[in-house]
Amino acid sequence: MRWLPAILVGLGLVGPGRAGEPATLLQLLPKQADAALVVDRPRLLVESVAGYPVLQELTAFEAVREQLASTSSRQLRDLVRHFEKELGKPWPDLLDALAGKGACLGIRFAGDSSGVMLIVHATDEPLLKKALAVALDVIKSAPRADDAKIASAEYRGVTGYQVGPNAFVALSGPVMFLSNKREAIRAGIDLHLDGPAQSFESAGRAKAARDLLPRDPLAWFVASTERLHEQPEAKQAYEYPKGDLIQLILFQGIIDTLGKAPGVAGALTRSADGMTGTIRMPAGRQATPSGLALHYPADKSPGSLPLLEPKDVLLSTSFYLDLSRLWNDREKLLTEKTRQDLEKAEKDLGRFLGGRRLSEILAGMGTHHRVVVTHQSKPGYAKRPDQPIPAFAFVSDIRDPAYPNAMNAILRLAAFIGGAGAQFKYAEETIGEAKLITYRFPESKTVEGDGAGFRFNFSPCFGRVGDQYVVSSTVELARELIPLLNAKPGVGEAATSRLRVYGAGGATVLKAVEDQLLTQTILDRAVSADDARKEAARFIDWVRTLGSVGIEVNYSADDMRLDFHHRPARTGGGS
Amino acid sequence: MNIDPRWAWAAYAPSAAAPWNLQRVGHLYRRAAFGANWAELQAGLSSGPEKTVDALLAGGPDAEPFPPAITKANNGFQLSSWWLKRLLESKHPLREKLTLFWHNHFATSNAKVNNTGAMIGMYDLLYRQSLGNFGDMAQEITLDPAMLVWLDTVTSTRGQPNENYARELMELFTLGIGHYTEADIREAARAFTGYEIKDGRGRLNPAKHDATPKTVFGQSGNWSADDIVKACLKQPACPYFIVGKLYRYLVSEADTPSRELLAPLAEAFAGDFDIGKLVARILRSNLFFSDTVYRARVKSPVEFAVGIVHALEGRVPASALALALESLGQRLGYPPNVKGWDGGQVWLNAQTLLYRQNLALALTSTDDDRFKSRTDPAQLARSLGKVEGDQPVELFVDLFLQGDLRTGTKSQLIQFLQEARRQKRPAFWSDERVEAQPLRGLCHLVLAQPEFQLA
Repeated sequence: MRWLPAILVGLGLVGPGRAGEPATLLQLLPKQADAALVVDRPRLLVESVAGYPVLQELTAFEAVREQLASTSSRQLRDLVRHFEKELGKPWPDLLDALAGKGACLGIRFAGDSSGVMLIVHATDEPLLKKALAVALDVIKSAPRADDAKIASAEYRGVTGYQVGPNAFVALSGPVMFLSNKREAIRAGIDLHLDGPAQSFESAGRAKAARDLLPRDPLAWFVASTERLHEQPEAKQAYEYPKGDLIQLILFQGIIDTLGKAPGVAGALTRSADGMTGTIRMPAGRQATPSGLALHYPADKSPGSLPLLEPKDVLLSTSFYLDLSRLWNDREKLLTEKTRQDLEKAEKDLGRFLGGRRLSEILAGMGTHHRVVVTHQSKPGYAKRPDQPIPAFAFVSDIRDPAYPNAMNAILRLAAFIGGAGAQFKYAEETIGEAKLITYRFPESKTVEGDGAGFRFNFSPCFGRVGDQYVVSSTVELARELIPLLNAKPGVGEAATSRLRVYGAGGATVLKAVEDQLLTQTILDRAVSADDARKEAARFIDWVRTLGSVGIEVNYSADDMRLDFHHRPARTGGGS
Repeated sequence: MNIDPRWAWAAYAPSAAAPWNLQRVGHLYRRAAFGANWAELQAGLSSGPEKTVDALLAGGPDAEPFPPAITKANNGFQLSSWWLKRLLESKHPLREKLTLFWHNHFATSNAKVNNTGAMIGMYDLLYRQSLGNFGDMAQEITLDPAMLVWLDTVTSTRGQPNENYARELMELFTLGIGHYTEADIREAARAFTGYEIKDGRGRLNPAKHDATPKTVFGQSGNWSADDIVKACLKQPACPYFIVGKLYRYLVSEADTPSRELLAPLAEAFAGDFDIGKLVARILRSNLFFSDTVYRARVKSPVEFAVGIVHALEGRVPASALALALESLGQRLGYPPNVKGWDGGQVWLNAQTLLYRQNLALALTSTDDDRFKSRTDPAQLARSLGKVEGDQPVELFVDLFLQGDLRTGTKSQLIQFLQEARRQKRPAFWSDERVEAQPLRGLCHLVLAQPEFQLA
């Protein structure tokens, strides 16, 4: 009796037989796909993003309003209005009716066979059919309709349409498939009619990565890395020893993890205190060959120290990086040529390091580092530079007690050589137990080539503060850091690196260059000086209320998590 | 070309053979400004030539000056953009247009000067003197900080004179080739030694100046910079050289004027070097309004773009337009070399012509993100009540071309508009868009006409 359904379908008495409703959209995505971007509740995503306070406040800006009034934006609104009119519902309700059970964009990366497929699962099947009919009418009425006639074809009782040279669409019950590949549409229909046996979900693709995702995300993605691992460039990136020193120092941890992970997943979630994005991989510390990790401690000691957050902080980062290991394990880590280059560099640098060797310096330096950038709220000079730049400092802990003295000698030598023309004035400053070596430019003297006074952005200083060594672009910043560094850092955090950018600090920096902002606003927006002034002031206020954006990298034994957080100022995220 | 100089420079008076019409108003605005908008064309038509020229010479208040932030940041792109902004918003377009002329005459580029403050200083000088006194301008430009750097005068010292400024002063700024000798340059170069920039101003440092006697143009003396400039101004070639360059800029670049034709202007100019008087005489003359010189110049990229924006009564971001003009070959404050932009037909080649069409499309289509709907031809047509039937064709052809079209082109434009209106539009398009789109396409077509490339 297997022929009976086909006959009934042929007679138009019933629709094609379907398997049960899919439990997830990944059951409708063919297993040949490599990645999927899924929105389980599209309306929630749109309303969460559009209603996010920071983004909502943007609409108060004339520049944004003008963008929203642009021809392309108006076209989109016209299109939406047309659908609302034809389908008889406002767009939020349409979103629920047409995609209430989710939408999924599947992607296959395979050279010429690459393809994308959008799967939309409706709650209102008749309305979805009507929406497709309206969409086909819109396409037919387009100016180039003569060049792109819509063709239709049947597949297993489902009518599909070719709406462009590489655009196919079909409705199978409440599910719409849209793809640049006819085969993908057919595979999707097969999955809908026959069940998910051949689906991305059933094949278990990137399942370990999916299992790491947080609950109730607004949107999420999952990607299988199987095809990536087969690429020669990827294989080369995963191999030891490494020929690229920069890649090794900056990205080795992530590349090792990626090389061992069968998949990657990510999600966007919204909570009461902001928005979070995350990327996760089911491979962790064990992904790097034992003992070779530069980016996280081998034991369970803290990954990174707390962020330094002085007044008007603009950016603060804290990370773990063991550079002495780079030198000590260079035989295993580096290719012969890179190793030789490094050894030559060590030899050549000797003359600039006051007779010390680079390896000694790296061995003496600790593994926990922090960088902080702030607005210079307390200028160090009566004269102000035409172009003010933020102050910045680098702080690292000390492994070898001789390290501070060695660094002091090296930096004094550098100041002597580099500052000769600038007539640096040397001084020492003691704050509590900290002793800083400082340099200042005399304000009464002119320096050729620096008529704009750029040098007055700097009063470099360095020295030991407790168990930390500080190098700062200004004395004023160093003074602010000393009490923060003297306060016991407490236990460090598990995250091996973290970075945070602060809206309040950004607003202070923008305020300091407000005349620049005004000029650029006038030139970019063709507004009057008064309007530009108001717009710039409003923009600075908006930046101040932005709160902060942070990135954290966490390596646990079995997985790696890269998290992005936005915390609006009003929930305490700002400085 | 055999033209009677007395007739040429006598004041134009409308006649049956040379009536005051839309073409002549448009011609005046293209040469003495950056083109006219609809109101200016209509006002010019009813005011007559004398009052219209008077209004252009008098001009209105100055545009917003360069803000100090550009100098502080030493931002060369902002320099070009703000300059363009002044052109777009100018109430004294003739002064701006002549400032542009002098910028090309004393061509100095921030690519070498690398000091926007100094470049703005030079702009201010050129703007102030653009209708002023050429002698004063030549003296001031000699000690202008940007010029001192541009032609290496600041490195020219006693015993090691640099000949660059002396050479360009004679060859490009005052006399032209053939009116000086190499010996004049060598001797004059010694007079330009010892000049330096102190507190943002050019000044003489006697310790580095060659104070020994020099012989220039057959005269010997203990000359310094101002003496050499004066000597150049006294040369008979000087007024002819300047008048000839202004002739090419304001009247015609299609022919080389004879010495006889220039003589009445040059002789008067030699007496006082009054640029304003010279320009006024040219703009009021029979020759200026004659068919001989009509559309006898190629528009520079700046004239092309500013003209479109002005005519469409738009307000576009100067930075976006400045960037577009770079691809057309003109960046204000950055002439390619000491001779300036070659101009004329050099402005047009297959690539720049395509870029001009693309820029015109970007300005009129309303869907280019750089300019959005700030210069919407449909909006202008609506505001002037010219959207029915063939009215838009009449409007845009009159506005941009003052009716100058080859035979048959107008009927093709009408046909285009009719077909565009009949064309099937997507079902979701608003009525406003269905009505506006053909007008925007029509306007672009008008701007794509060869006649629009000519001033």
